[in-house]
Amino acid sequence: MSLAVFQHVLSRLVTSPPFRAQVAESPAEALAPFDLTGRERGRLEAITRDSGLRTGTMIHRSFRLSMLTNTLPCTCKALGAEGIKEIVHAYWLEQPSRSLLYVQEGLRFGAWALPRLRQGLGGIGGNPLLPEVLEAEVAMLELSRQEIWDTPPPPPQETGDTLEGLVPRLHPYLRVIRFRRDPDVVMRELGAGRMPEGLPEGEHYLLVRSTAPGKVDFGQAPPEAGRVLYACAGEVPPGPFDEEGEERVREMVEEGFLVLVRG
Amino acid sequence: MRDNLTAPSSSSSSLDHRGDRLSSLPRLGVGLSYQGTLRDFVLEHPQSYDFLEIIPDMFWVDRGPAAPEAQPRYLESVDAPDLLGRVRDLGKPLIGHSIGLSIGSAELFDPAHVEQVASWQRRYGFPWHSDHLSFNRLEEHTGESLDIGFTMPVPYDEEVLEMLASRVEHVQSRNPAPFLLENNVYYFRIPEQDLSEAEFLNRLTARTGCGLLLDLHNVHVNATNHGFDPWEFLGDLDLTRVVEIHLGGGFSLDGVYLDAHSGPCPDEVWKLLREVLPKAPNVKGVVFEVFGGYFQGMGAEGVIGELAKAREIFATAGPAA
Repeated sequence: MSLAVFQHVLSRLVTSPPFRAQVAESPAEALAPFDLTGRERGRLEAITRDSGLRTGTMIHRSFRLSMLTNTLPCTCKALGAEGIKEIVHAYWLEQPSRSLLYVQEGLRFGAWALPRLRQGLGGIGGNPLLPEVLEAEVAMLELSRQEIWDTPPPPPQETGDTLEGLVPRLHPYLRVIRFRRDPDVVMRELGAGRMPEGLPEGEHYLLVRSTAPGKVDFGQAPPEAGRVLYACAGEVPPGPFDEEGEERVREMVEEGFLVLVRG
Repeated sequence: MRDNLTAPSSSSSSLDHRGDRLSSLPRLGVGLSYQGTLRDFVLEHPQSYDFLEIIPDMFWVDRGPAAPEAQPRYLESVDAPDLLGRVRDLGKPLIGHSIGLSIGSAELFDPAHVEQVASWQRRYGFPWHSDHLSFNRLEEHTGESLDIGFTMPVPYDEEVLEMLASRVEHVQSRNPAPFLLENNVYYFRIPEQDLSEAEFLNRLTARTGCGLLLDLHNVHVNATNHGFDPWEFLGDLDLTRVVEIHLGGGFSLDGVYLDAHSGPCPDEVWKLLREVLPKAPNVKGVVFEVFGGYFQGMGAEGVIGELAKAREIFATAGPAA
């Protein structure tokens, strides 16, 4: 059914300014690959010249951007207008809009952007706040999803006399993000629309936890506890622990921050 | 090529039945379109509106056709029953205005979405329900879906009329409440269409018996941006098919007036409401729409003011109760 092809091409004219430019410059060549009727080709050529098409693009992009500003507000503030232009536009060109679901889109952008920011994408990647802020907001989004509670949380565990053969891992409803600057100040300032400046570097750990379906709490952990939790979240299981370390692990298991799994 | 067929005779028994079906709907009055930021307003100012229009898609996560079999496709918000129950306890009917059907998508029609909306109609007793005459979703050859994020226009062609008629009939076969389609806003024109927008809507509603959700702000946006008198459209439209009217506000950006749902209705839309109502004997509800992000700018008093004005016009110019 060529109506389907027509709709695909029309949608691409809206979502891709480079494609629109190609069609505007050489309509016969740009539309040749598509199985369209003569009337459909004529319509698409006319629409390409219609100034309203740019309005469609603006609305489409506004909608996509609103999904990110709603779900990742601190990240968008930290990016600023130039960062959005560089990073978000690059994301849009690589990753078409798939869903009206704000959380899904925020997570999708986070998965795409985080490794690039850690590698320093362009000049904006040099903003030291960005990867940590994005990681924190992605954690909040992940844990805000009701469906994670489809898998019931592990029951409280008793630690017994020994941890031998057991490996402590982060509770599945918990995330720990290492910050180089105080996350309370960073997130508060960005949330208020201000770029934090002049913050001293240090060792900070932000904990994000799902406490009920759709409910998320977050707060800082003391560095000693944060270090242990961060290690337990890593790909390489931590250990062995000295006596003090083992005692700390036991406390965290009993408080529900860690779970013990067979090594 | 214009169609040579005249509109189906209104004397057929099935069409009489359908017309009676719309006219026998309850007259609800003036409603508000629900957005999350309006939650407190809705619960604290129940006297300001007569019914609440919800976008049911806001209250679930659609995991899509590829969702694992062991899990339900639609994950419903745990907050929905409490909020919607409280609204019903306040004596306010609910109606459903979905955004997820994408009825105009050529290669994609989702019966599961139809069933999901039907289940909500059974649960919450929507007197009628509606969706948009447009498309926003497409399917890629990989099987993944694309979503443009706004209502894209369909050509008003015979081929599309056929496609939509069968889909409307499917919706109506699965959901006992009357189904309305909303007229679209379009920022670019599709040339050489078989039918005008009014002809298309008239043919579709006559053929299927579905009703119309007439968005007067959409009419105003289209007339403003494309330089025509709104009555060039409204005068040709069968206004007896209109069950619900939408109102809203917008703003101009770079010379284009946008359907932004950003605030109070412009005077031109109020004027259209006053002029349309006496000609639309089956209008049962008028709904004011404002997007959540703009609610703070309007404030509770601003929304109350719009609802009050709509009530005054509906009472004086609308169909008799």
